[in-house]
Amino acid sequence: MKYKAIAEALVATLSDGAVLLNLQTKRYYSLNETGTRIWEMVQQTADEESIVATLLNEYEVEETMARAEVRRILDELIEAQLIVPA
Amino acid sequence: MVATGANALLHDAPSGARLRVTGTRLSRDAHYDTAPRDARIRLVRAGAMIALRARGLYQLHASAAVDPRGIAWLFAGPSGVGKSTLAYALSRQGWQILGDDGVVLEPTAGGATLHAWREPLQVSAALTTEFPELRDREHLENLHDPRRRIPMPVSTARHAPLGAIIFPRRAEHDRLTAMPQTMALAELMLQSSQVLLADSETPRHFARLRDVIERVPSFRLEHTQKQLHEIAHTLGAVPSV
Repeated sequence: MKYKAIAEALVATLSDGAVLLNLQTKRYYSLNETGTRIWEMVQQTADEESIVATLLNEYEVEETMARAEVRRILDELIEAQLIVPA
Repeated sequence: MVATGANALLHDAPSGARLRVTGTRLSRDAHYDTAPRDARIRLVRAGAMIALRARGLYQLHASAAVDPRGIAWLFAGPSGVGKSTLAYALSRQGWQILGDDGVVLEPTAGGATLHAWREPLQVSAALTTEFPELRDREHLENLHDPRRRIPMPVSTARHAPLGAIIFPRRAEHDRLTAMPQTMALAELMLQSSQVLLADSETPRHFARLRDVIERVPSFRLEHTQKQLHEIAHTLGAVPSV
């Protein structure tokens, strides 16, 4: 499934991750390094499967764990109203 | 108060007074001239923050002190974490004060400059044991202030380059640790609340706060009352500031 970031989201990338500011809800969220990478891929309209494949390629992580982590972060971004289905 | 964008119409609900902000200009609007003085001060304070923001200058809810080398240290955090008290403790050791409950942040290519936000420094009347000189000024205690603060005369500075950002927190131990940048930015945003106005200035405001956090080191200071006498020494041990 593909997602896209809402237009009202601002992102500040830093050395240890990123801070997202949702201008609609006026709430902010912190992402760790993996979360930031997932956010970048969502912005490039990558689908969930290709995000998992990229993480497997870039990090030493088991597929089950990568899949669960991607799903968890996508769910959090949906809950935060920062991404919606594309 | 309600801001409706970079050009804002501020509305003081208790008095009904309004102040218009157009770019960097403030102008009186309905009921302003007949409003009580405290309502006009609230409006001008909020209007000044918005007008400064349009010039790339950001008011922060923070205190700041300038060390003997001329380097500014910013103390940011919510009310009650010890911002004013630590700044006053430093002023007693010869440091100059830029602000007690507010300062103005100007991001620069190399980091940031802090500018003074002129309001009297106030110290809790409960600290007479640590600061005996407060007893001589107890008659100045603001009786309407739940924190029983006393305005104290201090040596002030107008501006100084920012060396470090300190996020104090009261604790049962004393510890100074480097802050992760994401945590520091999140906490700084909370003390620069106009970033949430969600107007045309917000992307630049957010990006400039990020730039400052990337260029200036941030630290968490967990502190006890002991720091009221040791804070200059504690900060002096911070490397590369």
